[in-house]
Amino acid sequence: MNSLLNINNLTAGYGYGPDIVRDFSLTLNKSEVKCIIGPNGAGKSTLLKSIAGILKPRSGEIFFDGEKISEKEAYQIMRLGICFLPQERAIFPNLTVAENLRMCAYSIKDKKVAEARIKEAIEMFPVLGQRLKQIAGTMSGGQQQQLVYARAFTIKPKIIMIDEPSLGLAPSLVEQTFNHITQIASSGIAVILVEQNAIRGLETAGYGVVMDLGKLVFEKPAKEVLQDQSLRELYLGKALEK
Amino acid sequence: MIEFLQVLILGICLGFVYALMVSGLTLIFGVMRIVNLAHPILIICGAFVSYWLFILIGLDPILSIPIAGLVVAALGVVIYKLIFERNAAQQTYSEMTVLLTFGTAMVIDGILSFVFHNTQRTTSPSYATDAIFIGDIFIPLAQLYSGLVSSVIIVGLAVFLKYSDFGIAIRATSQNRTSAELVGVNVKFVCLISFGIGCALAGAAGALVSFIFSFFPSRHWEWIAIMMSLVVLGGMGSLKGAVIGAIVLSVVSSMVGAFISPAWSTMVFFLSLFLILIIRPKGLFGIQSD
Repeated sequence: MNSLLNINNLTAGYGYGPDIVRDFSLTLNKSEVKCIIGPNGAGKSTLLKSIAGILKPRSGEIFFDGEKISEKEAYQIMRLGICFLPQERAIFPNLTVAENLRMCAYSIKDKKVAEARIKEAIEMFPVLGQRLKQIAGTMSGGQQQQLVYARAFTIKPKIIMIDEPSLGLAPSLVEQTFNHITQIASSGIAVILVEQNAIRGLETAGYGVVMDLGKLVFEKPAKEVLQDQSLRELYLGKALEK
Repeated sequence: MIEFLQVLILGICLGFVYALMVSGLTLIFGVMRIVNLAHPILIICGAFVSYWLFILIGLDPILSIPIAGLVVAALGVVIYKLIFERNAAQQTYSEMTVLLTFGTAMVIDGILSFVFHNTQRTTSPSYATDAIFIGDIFIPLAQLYSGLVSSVIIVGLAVFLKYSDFGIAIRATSQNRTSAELVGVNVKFVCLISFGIGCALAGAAGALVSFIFSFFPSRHWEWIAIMMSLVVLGGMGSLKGAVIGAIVLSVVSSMVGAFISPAWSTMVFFLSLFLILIIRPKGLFGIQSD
């Protein structure tokens, strides 16, 4: 129980529908980067939503730093130190960039710390500094992406969960995005990554977690997953054809 | 020309009062997607609070604005806790709220009518019948004061929403609840407080309405349609739109009343509602529905 995040026998689903995540267990240690791969509908996004508290688990428990979080509200879980970047661009399109950054730092009680963190984020992403008064939704895709990742550096969470970061992005932006993720990981934040571009995801991660039909199939160091021919054919097949 | 300016100034003053009347309605819709048909009856509640404070202890209705606001906000928070909060997760929430708030309006109307009867009342502070002249333009003080006070409250609200952390959180929540929750905003709390603020604005408007209009419990039915037309013109959920919609329609209806016939002035609201729904259903500054 010394790991940062413990997921024990988690089962989750939507409304009256079937279980999407079934009896799933996973642990995550400090500064670890794990990439969850698996076919569409495997329950990867649902898993992240359950951890973040957007979706209440049907059964099972989730512990963060020894504290049970599976019954907490999403904002409480976020304030404990788990930041979730969902598939849809997690910015407020009708707010200005400055207001978006203020919202990123909303959970930081100390105003001075909040301001300092926002400054840090702007230093990291100078484009945002030049566009503070612009309505966020009118920026280019790449700039919006920077705003999304600025959140990680503003909040400095213990864990960051990213759902399909490269989905719908131009190839050059995919590269930029993975650079941001590497940057986040190297600052000591643990990362759970769900990525359809499995090879790119595994190259970034320490561990590969394969999920199918809501269940954990196996977990191995990412390098082994990448090198294992049979695994590549089974789970990374599509990516290889490209 | 004098008459035109006169009508224009009165229309603008009244427009600000209308804007205050609908500001809470549009805020509540923007943040929570609640179409609050009970908003006008809450204004009547505020009017009653001011009326009785004036009758019983002689408190000026402008000074009783904070009290009317607080009383109606407290009432609103109770209503929210009782009937809205538990339904917030329902998919047809917005549609449901139309019926829920309609029912709420009927219940409050019934209680008020039972207790106070449907007699016309109006608060009559000394300035209610006074007027000043600027050149040849005649401005009744009641209209002038209520317009000024309304504009101050609206500017205060706009500044709060624009610059305070909580105000930005309210706007963020109205754009995307999940995203707001994910940056650590307690969305349930924000909704409760926004509903409270919206109702406080209704109460404040009620205090002003108590001396510029005559009121009785069932009068809110007549206001619902007018207020909806103002909000729809500006765009549901947009404060700026509601203020502009209120002033424009108030001026136009005053003009129609003065130069064509008073009988047609109310028609302006319904006609504009009709046209806006045909031409630009999301209003001038409307939020795209999700």
